[in-house]
Amino acid sequence: MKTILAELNETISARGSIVVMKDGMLVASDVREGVDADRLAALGAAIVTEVGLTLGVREGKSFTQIEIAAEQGKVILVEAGPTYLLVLLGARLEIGPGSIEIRSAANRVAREADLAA
Amino acid sequence: MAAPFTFGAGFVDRPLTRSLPLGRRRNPVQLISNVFGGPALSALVRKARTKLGAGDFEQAQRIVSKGLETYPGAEALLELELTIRRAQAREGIRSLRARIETDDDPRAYEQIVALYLELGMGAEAKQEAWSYANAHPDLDRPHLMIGEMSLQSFIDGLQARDAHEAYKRLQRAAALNKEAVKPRLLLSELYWCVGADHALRGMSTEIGEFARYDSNLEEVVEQLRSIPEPSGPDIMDGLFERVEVNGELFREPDTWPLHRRSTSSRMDEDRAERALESIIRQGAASELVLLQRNGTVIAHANPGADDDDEDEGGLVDVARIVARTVSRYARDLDLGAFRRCTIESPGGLLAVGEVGGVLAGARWNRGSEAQRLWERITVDLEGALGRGRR
Repeated sequence: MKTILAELNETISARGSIVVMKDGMLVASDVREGVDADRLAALGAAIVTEVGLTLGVREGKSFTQIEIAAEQGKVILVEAGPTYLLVLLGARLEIGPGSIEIRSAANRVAREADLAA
Repeated sequence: MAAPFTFGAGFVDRPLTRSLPLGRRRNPVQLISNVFGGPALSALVRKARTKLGAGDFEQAQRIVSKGLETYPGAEALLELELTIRRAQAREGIRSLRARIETDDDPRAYEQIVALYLELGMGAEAKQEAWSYANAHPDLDRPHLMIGEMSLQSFIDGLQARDAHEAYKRLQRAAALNKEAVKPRLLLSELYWCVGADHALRGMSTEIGEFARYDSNLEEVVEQLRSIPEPSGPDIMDGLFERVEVNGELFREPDTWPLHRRSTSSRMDEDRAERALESIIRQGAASELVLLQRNGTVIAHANPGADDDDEDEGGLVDVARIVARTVSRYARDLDLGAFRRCTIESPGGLLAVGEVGGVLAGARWNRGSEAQRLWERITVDLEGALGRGRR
């Protein structure tokens, strides 16, 4: 799974990416120098558990994708089978959750996660 | 679907299907009266605008009040009413400024600040209070005014710089007037919200002196004395920073015994509520909410919900989580200031982001391209709230 993340980071020049379970547990990560992997994992866990659970109360299902835009970059989370793929991007990248590279990586992560389960 | 029935060109302002505010039922008697008699809405608005243009505020206000009896909740009239009040206030401010120029009357500054606050123009009110403080630095009132406004900004926005300003100004006001209880109560409220328990206990002695003459203060003194003795003194800078970093107050302001709510904030809420309802009627979103950064709801419009719906797991909850958690992590990861969060789920789309200094949340039951939908909403919200990006 780490190879998938490394390839994705390389292809879209992402600052880092991680895979978290739907309960917030970290599965794999690959981040560039200067990015705090623990903080990225904590963000992933916070979103997945807090937003996921809150939405689940009403709709019975959690989210399929989230995009957080900030001044200096963005965070994208997409559903990948039983897990979520989180990607940290820099400010000037015009990439959204619908990008082919992220979708393709999410599909590969989903397949690996399904096999492992 | 059949086209709405109207009576020819002369009655175009009174169609039977004229839109009414959300949640209000049509009154058949009123409807018939609107169609067969009484002035048309557009004629009333035109007449009131003419009077307003001529500077006859009293007459303009009378026309609008009368119009609201016939067309309760009509947006055009409510907006015009606000415009008239603003024009009246501007006129009042002009004459008060003249008074300041002739005799530098401190009361004139205070009245200008009050007028701005009544109109919900907080930034202008604060600026005026600063002018007052510069002109009369030895009076306690201007420092108290700036301190109170900064305290409110801190409670709403959780920014440490506002807490510093409130702390500095309220302390100065308290030092300049040993007999004034208000700066001491406001300082106590600040200490309460940030968890400065050592300072709070110290304040209980000072307020206790005033409570001998004012029984309303007894409850405050009792509450302050019930706080356990802290181990050491408070480091204010650290406490203020902690609130900003955590994205939440140590204690909620509504637990403070003398919790207050200003007229200006109530006016803002009414205006915001109307703006949200109007945007939903135009079909731009299914649900909208505006919140302070501390999670307090300013206005919420959800026409699909029952009145007693608690909105558990809904837009308000998600917006609060984004306000509390996501924006904090964004800062931790050197992403800079938080702008927007869009969420796609099987139930539709949600978005939460900064609009005109507050947090806004929107929900769409269906659709895609959350970013495009959000951009449209922000333009509508900024326009409606009159709080364009500065």
